[in-house]
Amino acid sequence: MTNTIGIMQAYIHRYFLQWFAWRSFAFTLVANQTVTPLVSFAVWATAVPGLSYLSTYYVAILVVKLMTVSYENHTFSTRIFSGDLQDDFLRPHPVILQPLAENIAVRLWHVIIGLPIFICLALFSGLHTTFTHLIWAIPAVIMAAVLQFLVTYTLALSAFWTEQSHGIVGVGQLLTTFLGGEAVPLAFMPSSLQLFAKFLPFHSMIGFPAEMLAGTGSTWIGITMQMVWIVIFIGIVRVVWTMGVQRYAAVGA
Amino acid sequence: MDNGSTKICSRGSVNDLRLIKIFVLLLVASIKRQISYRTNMIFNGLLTILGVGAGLFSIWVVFTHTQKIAGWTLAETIVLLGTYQFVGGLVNTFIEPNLAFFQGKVTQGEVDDFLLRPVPTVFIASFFTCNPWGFIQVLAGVVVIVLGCIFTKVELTWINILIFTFQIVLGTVIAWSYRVAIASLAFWAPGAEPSIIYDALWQFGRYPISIYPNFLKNLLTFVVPVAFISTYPARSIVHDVKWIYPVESLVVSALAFIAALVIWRTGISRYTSATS
Repeated sequence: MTNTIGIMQAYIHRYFLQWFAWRSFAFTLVANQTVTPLVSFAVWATAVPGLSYLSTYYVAILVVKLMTVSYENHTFSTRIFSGDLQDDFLRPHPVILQPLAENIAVRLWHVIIGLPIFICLALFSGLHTTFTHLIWAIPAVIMAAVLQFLVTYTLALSAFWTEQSHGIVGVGQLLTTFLGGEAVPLAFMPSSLQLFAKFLPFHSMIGFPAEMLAGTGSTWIGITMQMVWIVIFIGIVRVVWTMGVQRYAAVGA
Repeated sequence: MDNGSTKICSRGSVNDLRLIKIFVLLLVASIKRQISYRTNMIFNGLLTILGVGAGLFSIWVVFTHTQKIAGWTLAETIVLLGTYQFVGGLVNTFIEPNLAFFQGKVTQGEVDDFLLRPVPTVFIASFFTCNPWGFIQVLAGVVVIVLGCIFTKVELTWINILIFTFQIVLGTVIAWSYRVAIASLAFWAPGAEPSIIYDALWQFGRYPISIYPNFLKNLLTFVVPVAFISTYPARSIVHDVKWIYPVESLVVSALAFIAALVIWRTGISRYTSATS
């Protein structure tokens, strides 16, 4: 176990420094992440004017997005396509540790770059949240981060079968945006759809932690759903990984 | 270069008709190349339709809470989304595959290929290949526009439709100019990759720009002309046409076109290939 932690520390340190070299690119990625919440906020602020909750909610969405960002289709799928993955099989640790470490490093950079923006927005919009809410939101955000990684990683593993992994991950992100509470806050959805969406993993990944940060999340149901989906996706990742590796053939030397 | 090619090398005699012919040939070659990847096409088509559907869904949910957003009704906003998808589809088909991540081409010295062709460099750099499945997005845009027009209560006259088409063409020119200008940044700052920011800014065009606060509205009209891509054309068909609208678009698109060419030319003159 300590070995794994040591390995993860080394990888995270390495990827963090690597991304330091790409910090201007990371900046554009952060800018990209802020656009959809901004557009959605503008639309809802116009459609339902006078709700102070909206600005709190969308700042929370932004914070959660930057903390749970996942680009496995760009980092990991390309390794599968190019055959570089075969190096990973020779290492004395599970292959998933490397993409996980890169994911954590990328998220750290997003948070570092985005932090000044959060603070400005929070002060500018007069954030209405309490310390209790923030404390309770921490497990929700951590679990959302884990779930988002698992889902994106699973979808990125489709690279074992098809060249369309970008598109498949794109579908996942589309569903997360539109059913997860980013484009449309769940409170504004028609009630039947709202109920349905609450039980989907997308809400657990973005909408629920944002609601917890803003102070309106239904704690126990939400956390339970997150745990259920994490367990389900751990199972799915294992199965998909085993099936994918069996059919993996790389260009050999 | 010898025999028959000396005639093509005289760059001054390139005329528009030849450019159109070359463009069509490039298009056909791209389609032939891509059509063999049928799964790609089907998949990307489905993804596009899903994206359009998701956009319509969120507009529908917004309008269950209100009758109008910033003066636009549900049908009008649908027309706007259709316009956005239409112009976006044209850009994704013809321009994005070539100019996205242009910075990589500059640093790798691949622009040399474009400089050696007997056509204007900016032409070949913008259009040498295409994504045929982008046509599905264009088609989806048309369907959504028609859908919105059926439900809108505004009288549709031939003048409206004509000006609408005119403004869409101008909007596409503006989108191209802007893309070229952004890609040209690679000649000055080869370390920065602005494609992601460009894609992100495009998203602001999904809704009427009057929903944004004033400073953002001005930014989206004068600095990053996203307004001309969806809001202004859609405005011509669903709201009253003022003659100033197409004139405005014409002036801006002419300025944008010239600015893009100037920036590109200045950038190319700075271009030093990657040495081998």
